[in-house]
Amino acid sequence: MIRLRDVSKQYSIGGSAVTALDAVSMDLNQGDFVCLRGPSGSGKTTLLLTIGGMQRPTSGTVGVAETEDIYALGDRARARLRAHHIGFVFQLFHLVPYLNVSGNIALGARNRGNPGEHVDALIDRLRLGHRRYHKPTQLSAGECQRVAVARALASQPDVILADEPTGNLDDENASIVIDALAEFCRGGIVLLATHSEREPEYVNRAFDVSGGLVKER
Amino acid sequence: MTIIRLICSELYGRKTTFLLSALAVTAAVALCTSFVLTEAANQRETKRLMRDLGFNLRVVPAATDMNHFYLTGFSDQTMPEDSLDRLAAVKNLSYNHLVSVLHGKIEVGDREFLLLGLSEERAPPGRAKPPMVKAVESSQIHIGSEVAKQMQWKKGDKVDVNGHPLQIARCMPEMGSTDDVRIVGSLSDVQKILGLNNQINEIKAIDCLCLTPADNPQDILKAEITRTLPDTRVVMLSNIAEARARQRQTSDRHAKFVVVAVIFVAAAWVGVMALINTRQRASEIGLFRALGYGSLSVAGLVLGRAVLIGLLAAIIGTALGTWCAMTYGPSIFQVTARAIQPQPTLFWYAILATPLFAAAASLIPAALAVTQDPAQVLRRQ
Ligand SMILES: Nc1ncnc2c1ncn2[C@@H]1O[C@H](COP(=O)(O)OP(=O)(O)O)[C@@H](O)[C@H]1O
Ligand SMILES: [Mg+2]
Repeated sequence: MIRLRDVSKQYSIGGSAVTALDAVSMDLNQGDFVCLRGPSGSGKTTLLLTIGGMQRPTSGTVGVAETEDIYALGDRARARLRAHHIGFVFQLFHLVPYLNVSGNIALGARNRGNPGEHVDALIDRLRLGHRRYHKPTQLSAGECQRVAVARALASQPDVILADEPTGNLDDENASIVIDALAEFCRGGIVLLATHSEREPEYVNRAFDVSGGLVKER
Repeated sequence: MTIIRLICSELYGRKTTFLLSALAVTAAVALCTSFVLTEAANQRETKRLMRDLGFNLRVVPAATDMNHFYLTGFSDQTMPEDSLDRLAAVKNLSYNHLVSVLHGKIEVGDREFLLLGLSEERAPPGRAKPPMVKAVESSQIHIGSEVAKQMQWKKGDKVDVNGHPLQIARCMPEMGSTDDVRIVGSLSDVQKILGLNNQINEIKAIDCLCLTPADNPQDILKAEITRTLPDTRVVMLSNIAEARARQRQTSDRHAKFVVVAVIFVAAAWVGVMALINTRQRASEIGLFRALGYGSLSVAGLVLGRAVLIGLLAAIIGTALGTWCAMTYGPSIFQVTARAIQPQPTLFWYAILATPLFAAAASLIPAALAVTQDPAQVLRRQ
């Protein structure tokens, strides 16, 4: 469950303020596959980072799972909340260069007791079996993003925040990634930000983002 | 994935920065190790050089006529030979290399020379050291260059001194001092020649206080000696004493300076390398944040890395330093090479101190890693 109430974010650059989020309110529930669509600079990334507890809003409250306002928590508690409830997927993958595929996925599962089996299942599910011991530099963009999705899934979160996850991918890889997110979504929430006109399959709620304003279609 | 495994993977994955940091610490540890190991030899060598300056303390009977003493170089008074035994029995004495001396003038033919009898060297309890001067064997003498020249005596000659037959065991080279007109024999022989059985007129010694005149060592030494031998006075050759003390203190200061400079440079290097490393890892650290790593874990990544580098550097550095000291030390300190020995305690000390040191040098990079804004690096497209 995600509850946003009047969430605003202003950046000040050299004295002048840029409004990246403008009084955004929304309620999302388990099973919501949410598409945030808007041009570059409209505030999508800011919204995802704010929901993910990575960027404190200027005003408003962000509730995730049982927590009413995650920014009322201390840093450590918020880090723990991220580890347990939130998975990130970035456009630029952000894989750890010196860990192999299996190691990168295991990073996401560090708060689970015995991640080994879990990681193996994810490797199979994202069809990375033959890449298990390869480093990120040896992978294609599509494979990198599949690793990143597997890593986000590894902590068995409640929410996945995916920032233009298919931006750098071909159609085949894009659909592997979207399929995996959709499958996750049966038991969780996916927020997917995109600037493309095409809306991915499975999306059941769509929001338009423009100049920091978020409107459901 | 534990922090330790993560650190090890990172070190393995970024070998260049790792090797460069490890190199700095290893070099510092190796330098300090070889320095400490050779320092023992250095000190011994210095001591030896300083010791060659000679005795700097002279204990003479209190009734000595000081004018006579300075004009002739010896006391006109005598004291019992067992004074030396009494002095050498005192614990915690600030004197060492104790020798009793009987000194007098003697006529051989129509020439006047100095005659010097020396006892075996003695040391206070538990402080025996290799003797500074070797006693002359009984029935033998060593002669100065002028004695040899004027008497036309050679090594091996059997000569007569005041009716006592003696053999010349050694002709000394020209020293440019009263040594050149001196005949040196064993204490008992000289006592017989001078007719002063069981008497000595001086005890020579070296102080081991190593204080400069400003510390007023004379008072300390006098107080010590007059407790045991109340009827004596102490004459200190302050030039020699001071040279000795100053040399040792200079050597100590130099050692400290070198070690501190090495440590300082290594710390700066390690700190800068850690800084470059955390810069390089900005997006990685942002990712760890997104994955739910707290500040402690992020700091742990940077500091743990430093500790591991420190551990490795301590092991390799002490080994390397010991090897260097053992290989190159003996050619520098030729006389005291045997003082250069591996020191296991040094290894344990390094194992403990180096990781702490590396971590301390990485505190600023760790703080930067913790405070960096992860959102900033994660939004890069
Ligand atoms: N650190 C920052 N400082 C100043 N302005 C920023 C910063 N980050 C983002 N912005 C601005 O906030 C607005 C929204 O950015 P962002 O959320 O990245 O949009 P999107 O992801 O939709 O492209 C943009 O105008 C961007 O320039
Ligand atoms: Mg964006």
